[in-house]
Amino acid sequence: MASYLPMMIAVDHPYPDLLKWAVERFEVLNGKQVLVVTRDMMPKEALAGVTSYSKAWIWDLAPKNTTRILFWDFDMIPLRPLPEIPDVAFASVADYQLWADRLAAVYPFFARTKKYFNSGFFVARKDTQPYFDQLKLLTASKKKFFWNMDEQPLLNFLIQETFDVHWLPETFNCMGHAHFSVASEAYMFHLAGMDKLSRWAIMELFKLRLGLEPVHDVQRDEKYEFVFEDSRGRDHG
Amino acid sequence: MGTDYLPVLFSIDEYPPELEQWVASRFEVLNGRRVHIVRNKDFPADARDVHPYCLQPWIWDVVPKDTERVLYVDSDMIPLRALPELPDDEFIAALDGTPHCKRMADIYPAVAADGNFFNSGFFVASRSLRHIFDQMKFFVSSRKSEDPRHGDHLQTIFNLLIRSATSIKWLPHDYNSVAITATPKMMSTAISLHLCAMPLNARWVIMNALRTSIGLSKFE
Repeated sequence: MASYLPMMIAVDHPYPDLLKWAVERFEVLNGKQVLVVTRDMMPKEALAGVTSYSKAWIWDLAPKNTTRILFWDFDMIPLRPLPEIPDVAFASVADYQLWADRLAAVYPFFARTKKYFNSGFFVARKDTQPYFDQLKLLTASKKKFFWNMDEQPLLNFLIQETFDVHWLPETFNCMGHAHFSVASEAYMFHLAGMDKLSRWAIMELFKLRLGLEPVHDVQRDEKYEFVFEDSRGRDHG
Repeated sequence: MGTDYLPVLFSIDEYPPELEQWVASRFEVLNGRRVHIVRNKDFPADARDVHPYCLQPWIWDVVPKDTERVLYVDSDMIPLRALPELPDDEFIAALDGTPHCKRMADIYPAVAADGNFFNSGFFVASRSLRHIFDQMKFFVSSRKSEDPRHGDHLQTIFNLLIRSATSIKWLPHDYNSVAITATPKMMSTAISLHLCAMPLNARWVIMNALRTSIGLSKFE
């Protein structure tokens, strides 16, 4: 089984309690210690640009002997233990197809790849490091790429140009704006694409109820069955 | 007028059935009251073409005739804790988020009087106010239901008409905690979490993840 280093960049997280909980929950569920990168650990050049580009520095932040990194965003909630992830150069989950289609309509590269990963969760092997280095250089150039949509299209471009992405099921990165059908069985739930305040209130609810327990323990004893009152035939007024 | 009420949930607008069941079940488990589910087919003919967010004026047409008091809850509202006993007032609602109350007070003198504005996703109304609901139907049918300045469907009209008819009993924001203005701290006392003003699919995805994670369990 190929190992990996779980890593999260948490520069200026607004709610340290939630950060601590999410990390502990990941560790309990998956039996792996998470490397949490805080502001004081970040290289100066990484802090100079847009925060989302800071993942370009993951290989600089990881211990030198790291061969694989599992990166996850700090607005993700670990719900269930992750299954084994195959030993491939790069594994990730496809984002909302609508975004992929929009990029494909404009950029020939994305028309060719057809799929587009969400960069909030990925597993990268050491051989991807040169492409993260390239992302650092492009960040420093302060040029605008792909509608200036943060780092995600650019990382897609750099990775997909060289590697065949291993597409993981949506349960690995169930996105709040996209993946209704798998939300009930997600391993990682991603509060992506929503107002910042609501993200933390929703995460707090999960924290209050789940703590560090596995999800199935919460549901196990619930046998309650609801019988709907059918309004047909009632005398309405 | 008693303190009894009928909880009413409109299951419309392609509301996923598993979420309907979960929300209604949570409400029932927490409050010991059966929720009256209203579906599209239950509305009278004059409501058929109405925007799904503007159907509240028809609430008295879709509850049993002997209902004296309704408690309306939006379908994107997650019951978290049991409702305390509700006071015996003609109309009860919860304060909206402070920034929104302030915004509305800046626009409407009637709201500025006390600075209070309710989010219409949660209210308790007595049948004696049915004429106000009928009046709101007029605003819907005359296509004047949306205030052009902030497009909140019927909410502003509802606030102003109710204010003109009765004294509103104001409940704290906990009764209808709006996610986009909530903080994590508020979740330790919130009675419900309202996922309004989010993209429709995002609310359903979040509710589906919470459905299997918190199930019917109670919050301390």
